[in-house]
Amino acid sequence: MKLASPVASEWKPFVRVFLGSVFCALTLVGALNYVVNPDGTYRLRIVPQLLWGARAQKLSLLSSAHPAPQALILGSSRVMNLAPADLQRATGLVAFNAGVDVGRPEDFYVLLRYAVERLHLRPRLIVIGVDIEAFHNHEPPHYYLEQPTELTPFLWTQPNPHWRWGKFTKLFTYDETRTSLLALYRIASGHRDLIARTDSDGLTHWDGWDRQIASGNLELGPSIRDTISRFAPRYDDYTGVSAQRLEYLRATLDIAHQIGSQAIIFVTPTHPLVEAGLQPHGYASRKAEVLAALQNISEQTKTPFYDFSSPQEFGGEVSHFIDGVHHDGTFYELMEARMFPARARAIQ
Amino acid sequence: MLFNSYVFLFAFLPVTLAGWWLVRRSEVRFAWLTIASYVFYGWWNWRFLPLMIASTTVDYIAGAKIAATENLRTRRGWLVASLSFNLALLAFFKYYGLFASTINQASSDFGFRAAVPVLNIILPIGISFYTFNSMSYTIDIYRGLVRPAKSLLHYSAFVALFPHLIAGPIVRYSDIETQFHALKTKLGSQEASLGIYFFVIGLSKKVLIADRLARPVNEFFALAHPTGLVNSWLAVLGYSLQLYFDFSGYSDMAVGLAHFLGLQFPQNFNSPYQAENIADFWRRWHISLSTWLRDYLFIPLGGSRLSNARTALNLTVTMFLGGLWHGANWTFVVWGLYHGVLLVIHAVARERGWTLRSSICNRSLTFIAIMLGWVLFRAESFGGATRILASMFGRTGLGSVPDSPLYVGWVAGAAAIAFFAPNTWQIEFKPRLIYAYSLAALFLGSVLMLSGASPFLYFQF
Repeated sequence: MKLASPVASEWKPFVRVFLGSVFCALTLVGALNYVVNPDGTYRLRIVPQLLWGARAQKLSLLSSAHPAPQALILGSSRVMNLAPADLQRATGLVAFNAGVDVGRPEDFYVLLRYAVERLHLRPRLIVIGVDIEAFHNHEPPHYYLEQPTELTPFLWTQPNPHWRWGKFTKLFTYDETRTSLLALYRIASGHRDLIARTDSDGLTHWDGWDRQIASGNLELGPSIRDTISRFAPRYDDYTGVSAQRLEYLRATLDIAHQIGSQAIIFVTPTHPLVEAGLQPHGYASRKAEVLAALQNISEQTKTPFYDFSSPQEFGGEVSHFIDGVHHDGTFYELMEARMFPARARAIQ
Repeated sequence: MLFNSYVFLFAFLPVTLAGWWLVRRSEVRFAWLTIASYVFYGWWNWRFLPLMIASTTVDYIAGAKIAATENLRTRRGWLVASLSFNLALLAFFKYYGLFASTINQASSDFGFRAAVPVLNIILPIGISFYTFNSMSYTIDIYRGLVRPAKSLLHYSAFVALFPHLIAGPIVRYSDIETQFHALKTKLGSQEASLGIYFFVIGLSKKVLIADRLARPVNEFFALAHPTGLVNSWLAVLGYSLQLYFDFSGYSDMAVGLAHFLGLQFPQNFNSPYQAENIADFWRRWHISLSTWLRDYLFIPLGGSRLSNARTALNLTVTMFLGGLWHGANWTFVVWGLYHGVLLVIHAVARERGWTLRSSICNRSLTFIAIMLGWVLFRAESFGGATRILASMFGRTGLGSVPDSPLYVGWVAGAAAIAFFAPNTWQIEFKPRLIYAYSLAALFLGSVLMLSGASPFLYFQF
């Protein structure tokens, strides 16, 4: 190693300038992201929110829903575009979509408890769409659950230190900084619309995807590759089905049973190419374990259970996927046709 | 814990360094460093800590016993005990699965039932590195090259030392012995500057280059049927660069962290893709492993002192074991043998004067040979490797132009650095403020990209 100067005193300014620059830059980035707070992670709300936290929005819409929903849809972002109007046509029940991004059994549980205990709702039907990844045994509850704070008291354990750390480090990420700058740009250029639009019945419109589909510019290949790349490390760490998450699901079904509600569980579909791409990462084993666990719970709680994890299970065409795990409304029509033709009358 | 994680950068490192430099008594400092290193290791899975502590204790005792006697038989006995213990650890945790699956497959092929129970053994991270560190310790004491560690605490601090614990470089006790005996009590600004320089360059190599290449490369190697000559070569080139920037980035970070502790680690990479032949490559790639294999395996086997045939055999055996060290998969073994054969061919060619004069031709041929080897190294199976190699040689046609110009740009940029730029150790490092600002900008860019960072590739070994 060649050192240009062996004189120690010449290196002092170097260390000071480096440390000072790093400190100032990180402080600046952190402050920018904290103040802009583009998705409402932090308490400070000065700049209009660019991305709504789905949980806060769904609680707000649910509390003002009129008439009171008779059917609730629970699940992850993969069910957020399941149209309550379609469900109403299938079942005759006024429906509300309470699906939230990164929705997992603990989310279903706290959302249902909130609806029942705080909003005094008594839905007659609860449709739960679960993902294979929803039972990850090494991913803690997401700090999104803290947005809003009304939901966290219903959790069995409070993983606050983990959340606080996650929220702190999020201040120093490229994604957060980019979103903050985008939020400032949109405000400066007069755009106040949110990235995802949600109707009063909880239905989310994925405008970006809708525009790409309408213009014929939706490229599935890169999205599928992106999904595989994002999910592969998650599956590497997904070594078994989380017992606690199964208990959360069971407890959700217990609440449904206590209020005289009929629950239905279905597994959300995944593109076959994503399934194939995740095979080296243990996908097949995890899927088999999740399906077996759900079948077991279904039998024990007498809850109808549908495995729609592959499109061929319900006659779906892969062309209706809009990325590796999300799809357009056509799939829901096919799934509802499987779930409700005979059941609609029984529920009524 | 990963070097490229927020918890390491914002919590572990500042606390560990504060404790290390604020405490005066050397024994307390060693205890602090050992505990911190155990936390670093246990962060991944604390259940494997006792294994490392057991290995440390056995080798410390064996080292002390070897040094305590002149009786050759006793010395040899303790050396064998130490080596057996370490090799048994490796055999069980790393190679049992390969052994069981191979035996069972062979049984099945001959119409018998599976003969060996298949156990779901988790590979303790870094086990290959710390067992090699430990083995060199007892062997060097046996050879009279180093004195035994002053205490179990000293030796534990050496084995667990977090900068090199997980993925090397393989530091020998002889590298660190003198430094441990004369610990610095104050972090000088020159030492700190060197630490900053190596650490930031290593971090940016990993986060800003290797991780940018990772996604398309992983996507390609996940394909059941790779298509197109152009895409195949581009993907394998991408992997070659990803592996280099990932591993050399880790090594640079380890060297930087050692400087933060007032210690110095040996160089582990010396622009390996600028090598002019395969022997030159192994003098530049993962130098600490190459020299370990040379000193503890190749030379004891006879090295190149015997006949040509024996030298060829020694090279092949050494590279076979070097391949096996990398992983419990026959693809690694074949990769090692492939390099052994290349080394033999090079030795024969050199002896007969069959070498090219053009440096560019030598470098290009060497790099292509290395790239072909990386296909075996990266592929999950022989079937996968064969499909990729077939695609590289036109079996699936020329293919289309890559649909990601950004990826092509990253590959081109990374290749330019790897092939033509001086490496971290060659750059003349000056105390100029522009360097400080540049390194601060690189550090900030790397920190912002940490959320998408992946584990280091060499962790699996």
